[in-house]
Amino acid sequence: MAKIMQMPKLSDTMTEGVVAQWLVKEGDKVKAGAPILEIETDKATMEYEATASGVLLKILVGDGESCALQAPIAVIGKEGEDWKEAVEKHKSSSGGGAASSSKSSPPSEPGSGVAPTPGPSGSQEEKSVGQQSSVNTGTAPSSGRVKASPLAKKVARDRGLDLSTLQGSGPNGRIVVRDLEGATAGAASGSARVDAPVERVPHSNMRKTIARRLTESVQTAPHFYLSLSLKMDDVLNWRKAAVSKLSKEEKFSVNDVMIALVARALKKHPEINASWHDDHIARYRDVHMGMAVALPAGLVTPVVRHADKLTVLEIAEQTKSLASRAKEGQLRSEDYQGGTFTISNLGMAGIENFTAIINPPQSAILAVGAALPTPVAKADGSIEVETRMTITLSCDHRVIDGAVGSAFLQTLKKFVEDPFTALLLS
Amino acid sequence: MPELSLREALNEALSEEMERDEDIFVMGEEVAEYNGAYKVTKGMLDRFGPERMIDSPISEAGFAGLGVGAAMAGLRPVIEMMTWNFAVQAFDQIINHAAKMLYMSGGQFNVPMVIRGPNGAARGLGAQHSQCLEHMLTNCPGLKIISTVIPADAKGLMKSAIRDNNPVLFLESEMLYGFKGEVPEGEHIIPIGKGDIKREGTDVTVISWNKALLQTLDAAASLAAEDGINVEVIDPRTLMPLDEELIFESVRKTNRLVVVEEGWGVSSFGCYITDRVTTECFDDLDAPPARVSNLFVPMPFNVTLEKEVLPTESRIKEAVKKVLYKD
Repeated sequence: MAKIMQMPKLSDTMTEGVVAQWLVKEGDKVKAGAPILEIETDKATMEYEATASGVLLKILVGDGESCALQAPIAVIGKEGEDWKEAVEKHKSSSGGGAASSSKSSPPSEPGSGVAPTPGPSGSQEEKSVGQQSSVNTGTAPSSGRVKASPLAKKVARDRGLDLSTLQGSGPNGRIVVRDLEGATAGAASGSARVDAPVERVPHSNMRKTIARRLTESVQTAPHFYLSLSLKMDDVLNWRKAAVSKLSKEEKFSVNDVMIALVARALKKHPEINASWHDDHIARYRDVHMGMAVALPAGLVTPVVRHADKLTVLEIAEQTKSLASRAKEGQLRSEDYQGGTFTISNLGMAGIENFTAIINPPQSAILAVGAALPTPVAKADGSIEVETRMTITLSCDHRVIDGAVGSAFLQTLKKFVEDPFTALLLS
Repeated sequence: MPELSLREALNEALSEEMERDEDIFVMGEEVAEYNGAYKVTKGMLDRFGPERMIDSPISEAGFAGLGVGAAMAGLRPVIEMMTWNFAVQAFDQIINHAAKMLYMSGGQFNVPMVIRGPNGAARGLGAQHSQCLEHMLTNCPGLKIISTVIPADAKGLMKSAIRDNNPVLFLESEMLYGFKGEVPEGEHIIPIGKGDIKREGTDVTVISWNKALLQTLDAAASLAAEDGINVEVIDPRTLMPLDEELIFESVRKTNRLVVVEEGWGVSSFGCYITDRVTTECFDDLDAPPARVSNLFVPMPFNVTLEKEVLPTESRIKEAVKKVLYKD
């Protein structure tokens, strides 16, 4: 019996997958474990391996096409075998729709990117019974593509309506023009229609993920912000002296020092290194530091694991590798998953201070501004010029109270202003 | 305005044109002595004499060919096919000669000929005598094709057909030669290529012609009374060339299209109409167009089965409700 390959869940935040390209053709022999296609997730393009050995009988989702998680993407079997039969059988046993992934695994590793493998057939049958009713209503929004009549699309465009927020009453959930009656445009686009020529830029998967996750963050996590100015002279002087003695490959940045110091401060404040869950707060024993990397297509936050235990040089080595792979779109899921805290640094862009949106399910993010020469009034009335840098901690108030956030920042201030002592810690 | 039957309206058009132009003559099986198989040419032998009212042998290929030759030589023949089913015998003359002569002769020979006769099913005539030929004929460039049963339209369009310098095929209906309507007297001309709104409406555009048009109008009346659905019914009257703008304009108003046609719906003329509408009015459609046609089987002889094979009022109503998402 031919075997179905399904669209795997390659990242925690992946809701649909795009086949970037097939590395083999229909009719080619494939071997279980050998890469046969590249899948574009919301964050990266990854090679994916054949789940069975045999002949690739049929490609169901072609290059550049997308599908829901767990949807069949190919059939592998013996030469000459009927692939249609396998697809039919798969459909009837899986209930036809995309299997939903379980979301509430205990967070010893937050958001660990392990793809849930399809369960044994017994559990799939149970699922299909449960899904029966929703399949029959004909409104299942599974594929992500909004089905609407051409007229409904035109009217929605003219009135600034978002079709994805509407329920279709036509066949297969098709939105028809009567479904638009009484619908109102979103606050942003509604009353103020901009009457100017536009270029429509289709959403990339990354853009969709950023939009979804950050909207979720500001809508569910009550943010508050704590700002602090740090004296950077010791860090800068030390770095300058150290870097001058290092080879080009070994050079490290102020950001690498900040990652090391913030990670060590977090180790002392586990209440910051935590996540909100419905019935508990999970405090992580490890510190995995996410760092925001800007790409032309958007933003990714690759993770330096166990940053509290790494030396500055080890951190530098990792950040360089992560940043260059991020720019090439070659991050693996383990590269950007499982962060417990994030640093966003716009100092190199000259930004003096800013506030960042928390990267869920984390509870805080540190926004780092530029280190600038600043006049400082001393207690004796004299004025000195110091190099100072403003940092702003965004906190999820469900997890972190003001005093807790402040205590963490005080520790961080102490570390930054006395880096030698801090870096002895691990 | 006098009320005339379809056969009387056609007779009036033919007679008035023959009075006007001596080059016009009528030829076909039983058109003269017998006054026409369906009496469309009643009294015309007495009026115009045997030189212009010619009973032909039973050979459609023969007299259609005579018609093409006469037209090339400058006369204006009106050829009667006892039914369009028999015209299959004359397809070579119609498709290879009449339709292509102007093109093949580099513009030297016009074929100002009309071929007319009843089209579609009558009642219990069996599989070979109950067919709709427009679906085949509209697929050949070089022919103008008219299909109507409305007496006034038939008169006005027959006059235009006879005056046209190209071959015009004129499709009528055996069952409706007695169908009556007001017909303007004298010079009543309807240009070829102009459709007509037979019932104004706002909810759904239904395109239909010939016999199916009358069923469509009944269905529309019933939908208005029972379901409050306001159907706009358009009769293209001329299939080739088609009055597309009239149809597009209506669909842009109603956002929905149904085509009701007699004949098989597989690669039918209704397919062409829905293709044109989906292409030109794509953004105006709120539902995929629906079509009602014969079931895809040879016509049964049994009249009860025949009724089911032909478009039925209930299938028309279902299609209208479907495009309104009211099914």
